[in-house]
Formats: sequence, structure tokens, C-alpha cells
Amino acid sequence: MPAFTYPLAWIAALTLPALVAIYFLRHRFRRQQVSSLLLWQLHRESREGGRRVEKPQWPMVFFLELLILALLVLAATGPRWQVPHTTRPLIVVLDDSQSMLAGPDGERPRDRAIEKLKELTKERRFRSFQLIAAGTTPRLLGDKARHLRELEDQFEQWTCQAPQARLNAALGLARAMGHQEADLLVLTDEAPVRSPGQGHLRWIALGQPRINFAFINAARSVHGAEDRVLLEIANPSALTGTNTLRVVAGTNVLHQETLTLATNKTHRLTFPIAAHTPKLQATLGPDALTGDNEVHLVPAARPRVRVRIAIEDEELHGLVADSLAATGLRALDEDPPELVVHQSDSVPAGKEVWGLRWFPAPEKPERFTGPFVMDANHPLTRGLSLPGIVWGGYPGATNAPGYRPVITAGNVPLLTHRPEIDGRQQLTLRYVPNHSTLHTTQHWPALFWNLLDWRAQAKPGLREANHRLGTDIAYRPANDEVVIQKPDGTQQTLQAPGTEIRLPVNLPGVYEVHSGSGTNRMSETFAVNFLAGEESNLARAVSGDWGKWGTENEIRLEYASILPYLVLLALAIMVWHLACIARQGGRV
Amino acid sequence: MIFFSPIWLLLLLPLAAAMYLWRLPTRGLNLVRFIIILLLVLAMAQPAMKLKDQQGTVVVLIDRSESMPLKAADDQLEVLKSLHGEMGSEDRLAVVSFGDRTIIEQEPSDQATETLQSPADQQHSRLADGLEAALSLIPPEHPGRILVVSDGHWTGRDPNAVTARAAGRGIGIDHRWLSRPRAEDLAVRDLQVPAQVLPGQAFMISGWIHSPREQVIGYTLTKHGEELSAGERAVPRGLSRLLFRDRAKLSGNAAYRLTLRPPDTDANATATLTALGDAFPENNTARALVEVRGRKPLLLVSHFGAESGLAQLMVKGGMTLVARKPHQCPWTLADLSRWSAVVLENVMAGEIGQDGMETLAAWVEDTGAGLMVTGGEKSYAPGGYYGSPLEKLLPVSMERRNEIRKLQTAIVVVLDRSGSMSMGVAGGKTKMDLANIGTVQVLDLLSATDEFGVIAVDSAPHTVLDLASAERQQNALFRNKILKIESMGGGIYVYEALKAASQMLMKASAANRHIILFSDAQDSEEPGDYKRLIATMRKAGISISVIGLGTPSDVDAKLLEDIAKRGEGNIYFTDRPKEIPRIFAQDTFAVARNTFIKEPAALELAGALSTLGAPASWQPPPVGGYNLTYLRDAASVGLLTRDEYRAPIVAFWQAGNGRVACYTGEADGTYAGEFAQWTQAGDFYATLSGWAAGQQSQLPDRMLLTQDIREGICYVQLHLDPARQGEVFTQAPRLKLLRETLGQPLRKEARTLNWKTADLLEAAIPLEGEETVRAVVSIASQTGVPLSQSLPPVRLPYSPEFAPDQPDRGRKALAALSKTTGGRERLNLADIWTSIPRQPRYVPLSLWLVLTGLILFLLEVFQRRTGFFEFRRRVTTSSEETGDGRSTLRPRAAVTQSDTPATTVDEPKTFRAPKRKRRRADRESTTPPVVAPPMLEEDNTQPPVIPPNLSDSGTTFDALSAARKRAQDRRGPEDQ
Repeated sequence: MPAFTYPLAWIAALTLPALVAIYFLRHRFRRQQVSSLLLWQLHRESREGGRRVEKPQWPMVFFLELLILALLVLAATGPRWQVPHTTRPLIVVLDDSQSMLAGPDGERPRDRAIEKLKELTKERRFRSFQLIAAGTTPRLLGDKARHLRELEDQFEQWTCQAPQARLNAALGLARAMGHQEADLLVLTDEAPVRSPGQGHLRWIALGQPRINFAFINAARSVHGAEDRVLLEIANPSALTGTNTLRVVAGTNVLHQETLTLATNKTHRLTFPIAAHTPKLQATLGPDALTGDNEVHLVPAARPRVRVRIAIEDEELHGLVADSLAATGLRALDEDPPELVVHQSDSVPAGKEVWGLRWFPAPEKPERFTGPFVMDANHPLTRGLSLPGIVWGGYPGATNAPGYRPVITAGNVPLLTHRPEIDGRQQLTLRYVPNHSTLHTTQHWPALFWNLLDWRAQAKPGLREANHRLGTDIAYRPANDEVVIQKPDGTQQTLQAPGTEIRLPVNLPGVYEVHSGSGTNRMSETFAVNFLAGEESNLARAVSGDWGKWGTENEIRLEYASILPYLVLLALAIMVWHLACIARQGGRV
Repeated sequence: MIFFSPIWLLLLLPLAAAMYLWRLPTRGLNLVRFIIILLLVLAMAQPAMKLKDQQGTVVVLIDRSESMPLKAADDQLEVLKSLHGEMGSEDRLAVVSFGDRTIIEQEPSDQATETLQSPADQQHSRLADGLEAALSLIPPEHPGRILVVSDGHWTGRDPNAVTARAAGRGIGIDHRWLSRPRAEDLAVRDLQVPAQVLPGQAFMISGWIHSPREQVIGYTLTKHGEELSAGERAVPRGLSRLLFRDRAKLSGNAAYRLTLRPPDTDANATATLTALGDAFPENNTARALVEVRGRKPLLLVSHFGAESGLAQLMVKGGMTLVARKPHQCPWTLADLSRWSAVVLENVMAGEIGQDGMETLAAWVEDTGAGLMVTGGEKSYAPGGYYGSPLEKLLPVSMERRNEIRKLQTAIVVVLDRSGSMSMGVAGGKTKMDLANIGTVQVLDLLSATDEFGVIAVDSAPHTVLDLASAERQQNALFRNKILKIESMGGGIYVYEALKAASQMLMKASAANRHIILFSDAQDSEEPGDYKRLIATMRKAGISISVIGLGTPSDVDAKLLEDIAKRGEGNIYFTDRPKEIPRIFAQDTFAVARNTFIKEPAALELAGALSTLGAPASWQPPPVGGYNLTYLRDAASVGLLTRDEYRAPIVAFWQAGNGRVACYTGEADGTYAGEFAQWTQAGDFYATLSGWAAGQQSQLPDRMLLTQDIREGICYVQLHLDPARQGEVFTQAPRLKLLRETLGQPLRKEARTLNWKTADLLEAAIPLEGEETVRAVVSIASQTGVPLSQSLPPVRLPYSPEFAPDQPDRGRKALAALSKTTGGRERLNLADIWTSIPRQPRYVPLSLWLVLTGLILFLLEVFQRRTGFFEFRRRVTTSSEETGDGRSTLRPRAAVTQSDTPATTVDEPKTFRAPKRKRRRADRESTTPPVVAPPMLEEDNTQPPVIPPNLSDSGTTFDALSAARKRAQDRRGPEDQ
């Protein structure tokens, strides 16, 4: 059964009745039997050619024309017919990971893979080509192409920037697309886990083991008043090698050393650095793979919370201030406040303001010694335990409506919490310092650290500043439009309908992200580093050829366009038609 | 522009030659014909041009999770059908389904999708993975859209990141929302418990209830199935909390379960809630686990339960234990995590089951727990442990040794090779393969003088191996013959099978004759008069054991049970094909091997017993009987018999991270002997089990291991001391995971903890809906001592698919996806094709070229036949003559008229309009505008063509005169 690519083109079949209609029209060369010179009377007849309907004549050219039109109509529908083929489609799975760029120009596995593909197409004919890049997820590089030269554009899309190559997933997609009929080719730099036999799959590796030093971990995290930096360098090569590590901040060289690492050994470097130190850049000397020789570490995200202490009692005010200061998470300024510690009955006003209500001391506080019951899953109780402490509280206190107990002594609520619809949180604390010991233990600053950290996490912006390529980067925008400035200079604007989005990153480097407007505008910088130890491992890079395609002599019936053959036939008939007309002096 | 088949352009040469040879009457027509031919040849060359085109790919993303409405698949297929019906010729439709896994149902093509391959009711909606796959099917710079058909309740990774990438590529994500009504969903939103507590510590258990309206609900909280709290509570609309308190008692794990129910009903009334209109009854029950730190008790499994003498002796020895009967043990990871070690007291392998033994083995090997096995007639080889998952953990082996055997035995194995045996099982094998392996195992367990035969049965018996001595049959040739038995279809004819086997056994020289009948419990046909047959067989000393593939509730199970009963053999049922070889071995041990020595044996102390902490002064009395086993190479022996076998009575070793101790004597029973009366027996068993229970190792260098579940992901973090000096590991710490889902085999995974910051290593473990996960961290420290610490088991309250939400959260989530990417909700599916953005792509031009050629050809015919356009122009011009009387019209060159009345004139073979004459005719075309007749070079005898009189008036004679005059004028110069 034929299939038609453009079934709408059947409308063109209207030309067939049109042709018939033409033959019903008065022919200007119409033969006319006349009895005398009166024929000249008929001069008008010629002039009226095509203007009057007469009894038609059906010369042979009519049938030729009919045939030509029919063939052309059929051709216009883009007919495909099951025709015997000896060639197969070729689906090529291209390793899209960065190790394909290892080595000098021209010798990189990527370059060699393209050459190999061209070479293969000279040795064996393929009916079509489909390229699939195997990166973190497989992706089609373009439409199915019938000629290799169509693939030039698609090769440009093969950038080899992925931190891993999921070849099996890509092969799965290739198999699904090939319907067991296509030849599959994998072009990579690693050997297959299991060698394919004869069939549809051929696996060609074009890598070479080379010495390669790589950053496999890099982090810059908050550690008190300063940052702590972690750099981990590996030599995942088959040979011992030497390289130079250089860490700079701006123009200052912070660290430089020559590393000699044996096979599969790593060197871990951790050092403190002042929190205000700008972006760090750590580099390794040139080697086989350049993509893993550089990392950027921007200052760690250090969100600070603006806290207002609205407590008149000086002693208590001092205790709260000291407790907040001990966390290191309190901002220097307090306006506009993000957290208010107060003693009033009403909750603090403000769209972004959380409140901690510290109940005034009762006349006769009760000293609770436990057992204290904690909601261990609450953000305020992380890492908190209350063994052997005394908590001066309020005898007979009960939960206010809507408040949930976080810490209780028996049935007496000590710390409670109420979430509000707009995302604000209201807390109540019943704690009498003069009758308690908790504030003299290490659990007290932990409690306040939990409080400020909880508030800080709810603020707009990035949670972390340094990321690994391939991980999700969460961002809380200040409004519903976010602009990302990428390392390659391009910019992307995102709509952010929710409270938190994930930023799209696909390149290593330093990014900027902006959201909000006016005084609320927020700009942050974050770094994304290519830290893929497996990908940097060039020791496993090999060259080889596994698997064989079946013979080409198989004949299969597959749909193919028969348009050229129909048009060819139409042209042949057209020539015949031409000859007929010419033979009749053009009077048909 | 590129040509895909430029070779066809060569056709232009012969076609041009043909056109030169055979010309059409006029230059105009020739030109038109040339254009037609050019267009058609170009069409054959298949040109394509990069043009902005709207045709592209639509990927439909189908949600296959269990939260979707019941008939969602029908709606989804309808969507696909509708989209396919509206697509253009160059459009492509792809289908991706997502749930637990993402499956490409259809790659981009013009085909229609009739069915969905992926199973429905999956426990997750991994939308991000699905979007990722959908995005990968749209090539870069290729126009396309994604249509998500889902309820919007995604699980796993946040789809935001993929959405942003789609937006960056200009690919819009549209959606069609299909959902179960969530408005009436009463649910336990979360059951919050602390992950770890200390013994005696009080803690809160928060059950967050999501109620669609203000109502009174009933609730029940249980701990290990025992009710802790139950009652009724008025809950408001939205989220509210049920708060419970509990205090940790015994170390180990505590499993809590909170169930909601209608008021005034019992705890098992979930179904009633369904009847009341709760859309998701699945989320009315939530579970949580709490680990109580400290020394955990032992679990003793015995047929005597708490009455077990062994239990009493061990308690007397100072052990803390819980005793259970085998059927009371769930053998799950969550339950096993409560114990420091398990003691199996004369328990058969079949009572634990294949899954149970696999879980138990993994629990011991990977989490560092302990196992102790005591002997008896239901333990070790006769208990079915040979070939079981626990066998490799034991420090003693049960293989055949020639010196120990019963009377000479003849065994005939009758194998079902009916159609059902061809069904595949794990590992690429079929049920038949496993039955064959079991049969070979029987052969291998027989002594040289035993006899063995095999019959395969479908609707007739077929002798595979005739009865002969086992020694003769124990070679590769005969083993292969057994292993090549294939399923042949049909059912198993039981009577014929037994008859053939008994006839074979009648030839046996051995007095001990036995049949092992392996049959499908659902397909055992034609039993005939089996009762009489078996009675006859029993008289001949033939016993029959039956291995039924299936369960005791299957249709033919009763028949098989009766056969085994009448045959005075054993009956085994299993619906786990992997157990088949083990059961074959078990029956062979029971019939042909004498591995339980029923005679008292004096004991000898071996030096290794002191490593368990036993005093050297112990003088254990003889045991009354024991299981004959053999010490494995790396194992240590603590006690051994003084008899001829020198068999181990106490053996132990380290199995992976755990410890295993074996006592092959019977602890409590007929064959316990004097040992049971020994005054030190309690201490002895306590020492042995105490060693097996081991000690949890502590992490060095002030490391802290934490575990935290956020958004369905369990984060295992190893915190290091920031003030540490130098490296603390020789290599990155490893994480071993045990994953258990009820009804499925245990899965193991290994990962590496990655550095997250300078002082923190982390691994993120996504949790599945109904599974329990236990993580064990192994650290290779600088001291060279490998350390491992297991974390408490964790699980989600229920499948994340059923997490309650605001009724329109799913819809909002989908709307957000669409808003980010410029998509929208698609109620009318047809317009999705017209909203694909225009992008440059190679557009084939052949269609348009052929169509243009087609129309031109028709016009050419029309013009050639009618001269329509020239007449029109002429007529027009005649009325618009120029002032000097000259026509602006060029004369016609090929107009002629037939002049021979009633006859046919021979047409010239070719028509050649001489250029010269035509040009002259052109020049001579003067006023009045005339149509020049053709001048035939070859035939000058043709009468002249007289131009017609353009005037419609006048007589025929006038016309003739005028014509004659014009003819004379024209011929005049030639005559001169």
C-alpha cells in the first residue's frame, strides 16, 4: 500500500476534469468540413477558439496529457511505496561528555569521530542518518538526514560539554527510533561494558589514555566569620604525572604548588579564607583535557537576618542580643526587620516580618527539669537536646489557638509555633532566665542559630553560591521575573510563577542572577564548576572497534519516495507528447 | 538551497535536445513547456531550502502514576488520536510516558499511538525526568512543543530546572489537566517522629491531618501493630495536628502507624472512608520508624516461642531477647532492624521463605547484625538450607561426602514440562531451567551406588534418563541431557507420570525407592485412579514427594497434597521459582542422606572457643544428636565431636560486616541430650549469641553521621571535625543501601559519599513510595581498620503520589510550567500545531515544483488548444488600435485551418516554423491586425491563408474580395 506525504495534494486531481473540459471547448484548429470557399466565412471560428463548447474530439495527445497530469498529481502527493532496499538507516550515538575533547586539536576523540563517520559512509551506504548526543540525558541533534552534508549543522550542536555520557540511555532511544531495522553506531572514547556481536550495533571508541589532572571537588563554605575552601585534585590517569596548582583571587596568588600524583590518587586541599575575599580561581597547568583544569569559587552565600529586639527589660534585651550575636547570622542593621523579638500581645506588622514573642516572666515561675518533649522534626529543634537542664517556665500555661507545641514540659508548652498563610511564622517562648540553665549551655545558641537560619532560608536569593555542573540550583526570586547572565555572555529571562525556581545552567563558569526592581532589586553571583571525576578519568579512554553490522545484501521492503520515478515517467510521456504535437504541426 | 538528488539535473540535457527537435507551435508555448520541464527536473533533484517553517514536533507527556483518574489512559489515548488527526504532513508526534520510570512510547514520527506500553498506577510522577526526555526528542533549533497530560502532582526532582531550559530553547510547555477530584481528600499529611532517640527518652509524634472540611474523624496510632492511642477528634478544614507522646523503651526500632477512619468505627475502616467519597484512601494511613539507640535485644525464632527452653537458658545467661514463633516473623528490614541478632532454633528454611532469607542474609552481611543457627531435624540440610541464601553465610557446609549415606536409594524425578514451565523468571531463565537445575542437584547429592532416573511429562511421559546408577549418570553428558529438557506445551498428565515412574522404579535394585513429582499446582490433569496406583506403589516400597509450583490454594493443590500424603512423602509448595532447586535438594537430603546423626556424641573443646569469651574450664557434656556438617575454610571451630566424623558442633566466622555462629546440636528437644542439662548451658548459649550480636563500632575522629529526609530524598551526611589534622580517610567513604519493598526481593546498592564542603560529605538517596531503606556507611580509616556504621531504617509515610494538597495545586503547578515557557492549557488540541513557533529548517520544495509544473502544463494545453489568451489580447487590441492604424499585437504564427472539405489531409511529419519567414511575417503584420497563417515551407501548394475580416458585417463576397486582394498583395513581390 502506498503512503502519501501530502494527501491534500489530491486536490490537484481537479486538473484532470479541467483537461477534459478544455477538450470540450472550441478548438481553434478544429477541422471543419466545408463545401466551398465559403470556408472564409468561418474566419470567426478560429477567433472564437476556447469560447464555445462543441462536441469534443479525443486525439491521442489528449490521453497523453491526461496521463501526464495524472502522474504529476500522484507525484505531488509525495507518494511512498514499499520498495526493496539493501541499505539501512544509520543512527549514530555520539558521546557528548567532555572527555571527547581530550587531546590536541585534530586528535580529539570528537574530531576523530567525525572523520570516522565520514569514512564509514564511504565504505557502506546508508539510507539516512540520525544523530543522538549522549550526555546527561540523550538528545536528538537534528532531523533525520539523508546526506552526510546535511549533518554539518548538527555536528555544531555536538558540543561535548556534559559531565557524563549516558550511552545506554541514548542507545535505548536509538533502538526505539531504529525499530530493529537501523544500524546503530556508538562513537565514544570508552569500551563497551559488554562487547556487541554481529547484528545492528557497532561500537567504536576513539579515545587515548592520556595524563590528565582534574579538579574533582571544589567548595567554599561558611565557617564562622571566614570561609573554608576545599579543592580536590585527582590524577585519574594510567601514569604518574606532575602538574601545577595555582589559586588566585583577583591578582593575588593565594596558593601555588607543584603536584606529583600517582595513578588514581587525589590531593585534597582545605584552607580558610577571609569571607570578603572575592572570587577565587584555581587552575591546573595544561594537560589533555582543559575543561576540568579550572574552577571558580565565589564567596559563600552568607544570608544575614535583620532582627529588631523590642524588649524593654535590659537584662533580657542583653541576653537576646548576645544570643543572636553568637549565631553570626544577625545583620548589622535592623531596618526593615525580618524578625522581631518582642513581648507584646500583637504580632509584629510587616509583610516579611516573623515574630518571636517572649512572654514576660510570671510572678511565680515553675522550674521544669524534664522530661521535655520535643518535636524533633521542627526546624528549631535540629541538633537540640535538653538533658539535665532546668527550664523556668509558666505553671498552667496552655497553647494559644493556632499555635503548635515545639517543646513542652509534660503538657506545658514552652516553645510554640504558628505558621501564617502568607508564609510568616509566629513563635512564642516561655522562658525565665533567672530560673533556668538552658541559656548557660551550648544548646541555647543552637536554638537561636536554628531560628535565624530558618528565617534566612526563607529569604529571597540563592541558598548556595558554588555548584557542581548538572545539579539543580534553587533560587527564590524577589519578583516574578528573573534574568540570568551566563558565562558565555548570553542572557535569559525567566518567568517565575512560584516562590522558588531552578536556574537553567549548562555551562561551567560564573553566572549572575537578578530579580526584583527598584530598591528591592537583587543581584547575586554564583559559580558552576565542571567537577566530574569519572569524566576526567582518561585512563579508561581506549581505541577500538566492537561489533559488526549485518551484511548489506539483505533486501527489505521499506517505504521510500517514488516521486522522482513518477516525474521521470511524466517527462518521458511529455517528450512523446511533444513529438506528437510537432508531427501534427501543432494543430492538436 | 541544497539538492538531495542533484544527479537528476543531468536530465535537462536530453530534455533540452528533445525540445529543440520537437518544438511547439509558438515561442510562448515553447517557453512554457521549457519552464515545466525545468520545474519537474528540479523537483526530481529534491531541492530543499532553509525557510522559517511552523511544522515541527509535538511531544505528548503522559502521566502514568496511580494518582491519575481511573480511566485516564482512555482520555490520554483520545488526546493522542486527536493530535494525530490534526497534524500536518511534515509534523511529528512523539509520546513519552512518565511515572516511576520514563519510557519513550513513540519517537517523533507521523505514526499514531494506539496503546501505551508503560504500566499504569506507578508510585511516582517523575515529571522532571519526563520533561527531560521530551525535551531531548526535539532537536536543537527545531520547532516543537510539549503537551503534558497529567494531574500535575509531580514527585522527585523539581521540574523547574527543565522548564527553564525549555524556555531557553523557545519550546512551550502546554498542559491538559486530568485529575481525580481532590476536594474530598482526607489524609494524613505527614507522620513526624524523631529519627533516633535514646532509651527512656520522651518524644512527640505529630500526625498532620489534612481535612477537606470541618468534621469529626477517628484515629488510631499503633506501635508494632499494638494500639497506642485511639479516639475521635474534631478537625478543622485544612491542616491540623494530632499530637502524641511516647517514650522509648527497648533499644531497637519502633514502627508507628497512624490510621484515620470515620468516627464510631474500628481501626480497619479505611474502606468505609472510600465509600464516604475520600478520593485517596491510600493516604489515610501513614507509617514512620524511630530508632532507639543502645544495645538492641536478640530475636529468638523457635517453634516453642517464649516457651522455648533455649530462650529460658539464654535469659538465664543474661541475654535480653524476644522470642517468636516462625509465623510471627515478618522478615522485613524494618522489623529486623529492631534486633542485634537473630537466633534460628531448629527452624526450616521454607518457614522463612526465599525473600525472608535474602533479607536476613543482607541484613547480617551488610548492616553488621548477627545470626545464630542451632541444629535439629528441621535445620541445616534436612531443614532445606542447602542451596538457600543463608547457606553461604554459615561457617559450615552441607555438601555430599561419600562416607555418610543412608540405605541405597533409587530416585526418579518426574518433571512437569507443560506449557506453563516456559515462563521466564529472573536471570533470563525459565521455570523449566530451574526445575532442570534442581534435578541435576538431586543427581549430584546421590551416592555412587544410588540409582537415578528422569521422566519429563506433558500429555505423555517421556524418559529422559532411564534408571541407572548415579555414578554412571553423574557426568557432563547426562547432566546436559537433563539441563536441555524444554517445555513442550500442554498440561501434565499425573496418572501417566506416576505410572511411568513406578514402572521405572520397579527395575531398581535399591530397597529405598522414591519419586519426586514436580508439577504445576494449577495445571495437574488426568489424575485417573491415582489412589489405587499409589497404594500399589506403596506396597512396592515406593514413596512420593511432590513439589507443587504454586500455592496451597491453587486449583490442583489438593490433588498434589493427597498424592504426597498417600505416597508418604513430603509436599512442598512454592510460587517463587528461585526456590525450586533448594526444595529438590531438601527432599533429596530427607530421603537419601543421613545428615542428622541421632546418636549421642562426646564433645571436644577447640581453642577458638575462648575467642568468643568462653572460659577454658568448660567441660561440655555429650550432645544427644547433631547435624552433620563440615567446617568451611575460613571458619573457626569452638566445639567438635569426638566420633568418627570429628564434626563441628560450634563454628563461627565473620560474614561481611556481620557475625554468624552455628551450633549444630539440638538446643531443645529429643536430641538435646545431656547438653541441655549442663549447668553452664545458659552461659554457653549467651556467650555464643552475645558474640554473634557483636558491638556497633563507633566512628573515629569525632565524625558524626546524620540522616535527614527532605522532599522524598534521604540525605546521609558525614560531618567531620573542622579542626581535624590531616586526612581522615584512605579513600572516600562508601554507602551501602538495602532497599526493601514488600513482596519484592531485597535490592542492594553501593554509592560513594561525595564531598559537599570542606567538612561535610553527603549522599542523596531518593526514596520510593512503599520501600524501607537502610544505609550503612563504611569508612576506611587511616588506622587501616575498616569501620562501618548502620543508620536507622527510613521510609516515607506512603507513596508520595498520594501526598494531599490543595485541590488545585496540581493544576497550578502545570499552569506555572506553562507560564514559564509561554505555553497554556490546551482545551482545543487542534491549535497546538498552529502554535508551534516558526523556525528555520530545510523545507522540501519538490511538492511545490510539481504542483507549479502541473498547473503550467494545464495552462499550456489550454492555450495551445484554444489560443484563448492571444484572442483576448487581440480582441482587446482591435478596439484599441494605435493612431497610425498599426496594431500593437504581434501576429500569430501558428494558426491554420483545415482547408480540405470532407477529407483528411496528411499532416506534415514535423512542424517547423521557419524563423526567417516568421520574422518576416512579423514585420509584415500591419494594420489591420491580422493573424498570420502558417507558411509551410515544404508545401507551397497549400492555398494561401486569408486573414479574416475583422468586421462582423459585410457579405461573403466582400470577404472573398478582400482576401483575394490581400493575397495578391502578398504574392506580388515574389512574382516580380
